[in-house]
Amino acid sequence: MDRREFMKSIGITGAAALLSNPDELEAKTTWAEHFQKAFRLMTDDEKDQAIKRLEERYSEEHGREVKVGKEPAMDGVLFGQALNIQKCIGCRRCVHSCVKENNQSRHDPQGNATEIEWIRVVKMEKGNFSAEDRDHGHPFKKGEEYGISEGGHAHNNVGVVLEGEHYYEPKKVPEKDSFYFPIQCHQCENPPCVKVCPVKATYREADGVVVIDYNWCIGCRMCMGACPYWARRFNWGEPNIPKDDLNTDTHYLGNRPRMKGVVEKCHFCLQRTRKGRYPACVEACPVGARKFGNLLDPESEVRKVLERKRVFRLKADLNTFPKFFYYMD
Amino acid sequence: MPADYSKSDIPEDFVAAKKESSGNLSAGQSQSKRRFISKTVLTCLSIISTAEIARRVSFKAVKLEIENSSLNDIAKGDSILENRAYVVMTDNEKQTMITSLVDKYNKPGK
Repeated sequence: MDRREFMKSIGITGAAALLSNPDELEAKTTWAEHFQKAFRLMTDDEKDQAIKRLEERYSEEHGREVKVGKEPAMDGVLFGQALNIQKCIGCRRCVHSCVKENNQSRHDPQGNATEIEWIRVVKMEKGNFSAEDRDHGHPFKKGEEYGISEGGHAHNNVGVVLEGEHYYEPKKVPEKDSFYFPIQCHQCENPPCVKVCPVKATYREADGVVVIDYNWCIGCRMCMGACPYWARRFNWGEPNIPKDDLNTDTHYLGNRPRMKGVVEKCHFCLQRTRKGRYPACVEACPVGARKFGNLLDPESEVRKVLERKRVFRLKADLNTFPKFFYYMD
Repeated sequence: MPADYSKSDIPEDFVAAKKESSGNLSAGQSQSKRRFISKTVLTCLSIISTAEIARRVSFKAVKLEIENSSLNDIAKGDSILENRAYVVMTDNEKQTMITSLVDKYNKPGK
């Protein structure tokens, strides 16, 4: 090779390197994927093609065979979930099982991705009402029987608002005088997040689950601002899913690997529930605090809870009509 | 008598001067080529190293931004949830809700 050829080859290689896409993942995304329709407007053939493309890409990216399902909502089913706050011990097993089942991003020590958890468990103080202290104010000191709440118990948290601890790390749960309040998407019947989405990438399915078409989401975060329960999460970085931890059984509208710049949230484990299985959080709960079922079926666990137990709703005045309830025995 | 080609009429000093000048010319040419190549290599190296430094700096900035943005999201979520009150549903409310859920499912759009 003479000098001229050598210089020429360097020039060509350099130009090729500059023109090629350095982002490997993005480079693998085909044009067809960029220009595909919204999932719910696709014909069956188009859906099959889109799913095939995704399966090929995911399998190549993660080095394992990934299946992407498209099971539709079942007829005569409206999903709902109820959580017993008296039973919950705050172990966060639901959180971890949800992360694993739904391919949520794990913490990356390199700083390229942050951890995403769809369920957040808030630790709260148990309200303790004492009849003896009823007439004392706060602060209560001998000789200074006055205070900001004479005759009341304003200084004792009676658990009305979620003013709790979000990042508790005890050696043992449950802790004394504490109760736990897991929060996730409430799958509202009247979802404010759906109303504000400018591209209709998020919508309510016939079985009552609010889903997101990740390929259609533009990452504007309007839905996050609209959600009164702060149940949506945003992928600021490229999600980090270790190869061995990837759940290869996925659903297009559910737990398939997401990309950077899209919003995600709980979807009652569509990939499981539409095949007649319980969501991962329900299965993982060691104390059986979570009940899941069909709200249209009077014999379902969740309907029985609604009929017989003391049920709470979060922020009822917003008229979102959530299908996620809290209850006490 | 055959011609003696080893000798010529050209003066020897002229030939020597010519040789010297042509020798100098080729040395100068090769020197300029070498300079050109070394300059090209140096330019390439400096471009590559500048690009690498820029890449590392921007990656670090992006990483920081990812972390800060995620933390901001969490903090915002905390403050929003702190103001969320939960209320007990009366039997009547529960019944109305179930009826409305069932009705809405069976007669969508009404």
